Amino acid sequence: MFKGIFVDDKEEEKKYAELLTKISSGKLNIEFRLPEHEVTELADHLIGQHFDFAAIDFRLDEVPIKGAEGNKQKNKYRASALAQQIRDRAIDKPSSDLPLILLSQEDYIKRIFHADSTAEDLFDLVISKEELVTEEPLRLAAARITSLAAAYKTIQSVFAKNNNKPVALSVLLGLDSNEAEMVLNHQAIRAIAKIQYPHQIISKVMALLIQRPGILLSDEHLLARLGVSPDSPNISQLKAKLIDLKLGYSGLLCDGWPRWWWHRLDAWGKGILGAPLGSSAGSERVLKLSSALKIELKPAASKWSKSSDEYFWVACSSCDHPTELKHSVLGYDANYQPFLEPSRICWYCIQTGAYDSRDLIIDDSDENLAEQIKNGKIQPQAQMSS
Amino acid sequence: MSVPSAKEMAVALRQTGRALHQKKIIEAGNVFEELARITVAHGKESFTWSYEISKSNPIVFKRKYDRHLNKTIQPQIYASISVQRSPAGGVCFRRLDLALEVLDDEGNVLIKHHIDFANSPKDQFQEGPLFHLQFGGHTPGHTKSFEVPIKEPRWLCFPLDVVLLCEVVVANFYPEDWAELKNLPGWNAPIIASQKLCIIPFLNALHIKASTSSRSLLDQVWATSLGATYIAEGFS
Repeated sequence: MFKGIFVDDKEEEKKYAELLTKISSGKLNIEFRLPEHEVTELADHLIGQHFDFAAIDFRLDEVPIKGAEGNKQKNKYRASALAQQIRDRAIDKPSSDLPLILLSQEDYIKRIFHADSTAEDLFDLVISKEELVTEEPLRLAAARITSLAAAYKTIQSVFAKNNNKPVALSVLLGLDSNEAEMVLNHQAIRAIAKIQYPHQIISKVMALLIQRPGILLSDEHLLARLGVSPDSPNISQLKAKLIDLKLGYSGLLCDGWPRWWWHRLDAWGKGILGAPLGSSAGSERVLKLSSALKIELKPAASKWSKSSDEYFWVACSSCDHPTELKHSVLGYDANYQPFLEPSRICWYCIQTGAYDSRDLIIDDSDENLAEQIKNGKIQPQAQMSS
Repeated sequence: MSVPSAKEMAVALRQTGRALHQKKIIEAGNVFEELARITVAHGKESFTWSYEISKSNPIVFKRKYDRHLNKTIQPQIYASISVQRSPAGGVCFRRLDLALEVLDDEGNVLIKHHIDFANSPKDQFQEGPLFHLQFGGHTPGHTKSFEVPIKEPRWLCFPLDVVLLCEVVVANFYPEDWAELKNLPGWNAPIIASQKLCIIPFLNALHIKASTSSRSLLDQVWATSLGATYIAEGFS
């Protein structure tokens, strides 16, 4: 069990600590605390109590809390100030580093927090309170907090065994050295091996491996590579078979963010199809995969052309549906690295404007094309031949 | 003949990808990183290696405006290449299949060019020059109205790999970028290495054939269902 704390200036928000503790089935024990101290004192307390993680509301200063000695408000700070104090202490003592989760109202997250990139870098995870009203998002939030706490402990434990020195990333990701040399030999990834602070390692692993497809694939990108429809029957059986084949990722954060090794899937696909997965259309891929795995699968259909004979490759960043490069535009990503799969937005989401609500930005190079789709100059063709 | 090791080829592919990506001539560099990974998977010191750029994930160049069509066009490349150091007859390619397509705004194929090795000696040979340039052919997933219905002629050409085909695309479609790239060692080094792999041995062989034989060059490099004459005669 991981012991955590939730800090909020409103007593009634204690319910989130209780809800997350309850749904975690014994994996999390979250206590609640008001910000009753100055920021440095509170940071000292959180570090001193050896919590495994801390969840913090963004606005800690809305309900004034005054000390016994006078009228001065003690909680005149926001989550970012408290988080910075905690991160500063972790630099002095990496073994005290812990996951920081922003648990706040959607409006503050969008309007203020995301506008401050310095504050964004301080937190491992951002959770909107408004999402935690049904079981599924609560369960996902609890799983991700648990996964983060476990990842910090793993890093600290591995470092301790190595005389508190950084170790090769392959050790933390569960790759043998031969695979690691083939898959992780990129400058930005090699640099992670020199980092000695858990929160910085987690931040890099999140940005370069978990949140962006390339070396690892999410479930959505897995289906796109296989050409399988998200509403196909037997997806659970498909995943179970792929896990048996050791294609699943089992390293840091795998429980909160399930991922697949692309290089293993690629090699396996070549064995099944006799050619790379991407060399055949979705319908043909699924036919051969269904036959090889002996499970009935439904091929994806392009949301633009409605055809399953497209060459699906990525999940649309907006709708998560398998999409073909031919009918997608490039998404802008300021932190793109050459070994990552670039963000793609399908033409259907451009036409409907759905991408806008996901805060996605079209890359300048495809802006004119997107305009033509939006204003109807480019329309789906009636029938694509195969 | 200078066949690079898998590691050397991986470095060359990465260099090309980074130069193109830094100039923003390609949309993303990940295809080249993938090629490097796949090539090195054969063993770093291996001189037998292969890579494939699938139709689902081609090298995609940036869109450029074409004033004649009054719309943007976009070149893309896919390929399948297999190389071995000491093959029969001196040809280092076991498989060479390069395709260059140019698409319009709506994703329709405007042109499609192939550079092929006329099948491997294990298979039945196609009729035509052993290395040939060909136009047209059907692209699955694209409308047939944009296709060239006749596959012939197959033009005699020297073999190219992905690095050299990228140079052809940049020179033809992005001449201003090419003028700048030509000054960069990181751009030129892989091209020089690929020329040693692809072009120089073939041109040397043609030079010898043209100097010593009474038969035409085309006749000597023409592959038939019986096999390529010059493979049987030797090629060095």
